[in-house]
Formats: sequence, structure tokens, C-alpha cells
Amino acid sequence: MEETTDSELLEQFRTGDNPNYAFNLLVKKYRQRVYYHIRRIVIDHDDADDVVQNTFIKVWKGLPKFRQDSQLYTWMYRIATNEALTFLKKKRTMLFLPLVNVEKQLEGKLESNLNVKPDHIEMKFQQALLKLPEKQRIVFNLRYYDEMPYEEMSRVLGTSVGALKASYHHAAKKIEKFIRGI
Amino acid sequence: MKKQSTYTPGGDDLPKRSATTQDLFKVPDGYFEDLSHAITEKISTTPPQTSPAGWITLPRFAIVATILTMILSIGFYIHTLDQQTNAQRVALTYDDLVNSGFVYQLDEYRLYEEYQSLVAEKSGTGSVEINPYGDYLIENHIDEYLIESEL
Repeated sequence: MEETTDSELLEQFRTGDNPNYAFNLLVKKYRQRVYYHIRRIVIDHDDADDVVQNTFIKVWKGLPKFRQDSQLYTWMYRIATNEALTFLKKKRTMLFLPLVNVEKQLEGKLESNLNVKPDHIEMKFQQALLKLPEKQRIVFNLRYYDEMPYEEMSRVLGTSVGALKASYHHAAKKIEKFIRGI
Repeated sequence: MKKQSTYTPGGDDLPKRSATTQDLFKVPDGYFEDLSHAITEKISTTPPQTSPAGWITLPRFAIVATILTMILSIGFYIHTLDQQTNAQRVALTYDDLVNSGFVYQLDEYRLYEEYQSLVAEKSGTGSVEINPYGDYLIENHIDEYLIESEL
């Protein structure tokens, strides 16, 4: 069966008799992509689950106001990113933790959350990713895993294309250094 | 590690997620189905915000405008009050000078009287002696030193 396009889904949501049905289709279409985007930021499954649910609730609430200035998935990614960052910020505030400690906490969760052995190169790669500043990590993830063009990333993160390219370049260099053990 | 780009430029859908990430993180079996159910349940109790964007933005502008007006009014009031206080302070000082007889107290005759009483106190007479020569000079505004220099 052919996947419904975003425009069709929006049309169905706005003019159809059953907006809930259209929204369910939207959730089905994007649940995995949104989930993995969030999971890569918060690492832990339960945390990701909470953030994903909050993200979709916000999408549901805001969808009638969505004016299609940007693409639907860009808008959803922006909500998901903000929700994930807010979650980490709350965690820091609640536990009175400095940034470094939250990163250590996330690093500690890697082993139980990844399907790879501790000595696997992928584990080292994920550890290197967690050494990056939060926003740089998101830039790297969006480019590396989601293969999102810089123009779209710019809309998601509200940062210029030039800055994003520089950020990705720095992130790649840092990861390389970490993996090589320099 | 990196997969070939599957992003379709110009399309309004997300690029296909990387299989690496999907395999990398542990996810409970049937999680995504459960997630859909959980979201469906939650949205059934949460209505979408159907009001137009202006509904939220207008009161925000109104609140900001009200706060700004209040701040400006308070600032203007304090400024006016300060000016009034300064004016009152000047007036009071002037009134004080006039009404308290300070100008009168600076009268040479009064000063002379004070001087005389001090001299009397020092000499032990206890009485105030008025010098008619001095009185004459003061009453006629004659400078004693000027007379001395002319003589």
C-alpha cells in the first residue's frame, strides 16, 4: 500500500470527518523516525517513550495551527528536538547535576541500551557522540543518521546553514579523535 | 557504518531512517504498536487547539502593552513627584529663611547687641550696655573704618 503524503494527511486532518483517524495515520508514519531521533538524544528507552508521547501530544494540539510555512516533518522534528532538550534540562535541574554529569549518566546507560557488545566499535562511536555538546550531537545525528539536508536542519534547529556545516565538521573531527584515541 | 543517502529532495516526507540506528538501540517487542495506542488514548482526552494563532498572540501583545503603559505611567509619576518635591524643597527653604527671621537675625544691630552682651558677660557686669556711638553708626549705615581712613 502506498504511504499517504503529508499534504494528504493534513488535508484529511483539517477537512475530514475524523481528525483522530488522520492523526493516527500521521503517528504511524512518523513514530519510528521521531522515536529514534529522540532516543539518540536521551538514550534511555523509558525516557524516549515519555518524550515521544509528549511530542505527539504537542503535534496533535498544534496541528490545527500548523500553517505549512515549513514542511510537516521539519516542524515535528523541531518539536521533538525541543522536547528532548527540555527533558534533559529538567533532569539536570531536578537532580542538580552539571552538564558533564548528565553526559556521564547517559554514557552509563549506553551499555544496557545498545544491541552491541561493550568492546564493539559502535559502542565507542556512541561514547564519542556523547562527548559532544548537546546541540552539536543533534546536528551530527540529523546529518549522519537521518541524512537531513542542511537547509532542513536549519529550519529544525533555527541555525544558519554555515554554522551547521561548521558544527558537523567539528563534531566529525572530535569523534575521529576520540575513536583513534588521540 | 553510514548508509547511502535515501533522502529525496523536494519530497515532503522524511528521509528513510538509517537501519543502523534501528538495529542499534534495544526496543521492546511491539513497542511501536503500543506507542500508537498510548498516543490515541491520550489525544482522545485532549482536544486539538482549534483557535487561530491570533487568539494567543493578541492577548500577549495586550499584556505587553499594558505592562509597558504601567511602567511608563509609574516612571512619569515618579518623575513628576520628584520635580514637585524639589520645587517644594526650594520653596520651603526660602520660606524658612523669610519666616524664621533669619534675615532679621543677620541685622548688624542685632549682631552688635549680641556682641555687647558677650562682652558684658565676659567682663562680669551681667548687664547689656548699649553704645550710643555704635547705635548711631549702625542706624545711619556708616562704615567706621571708612571714617577712620578718611580722618
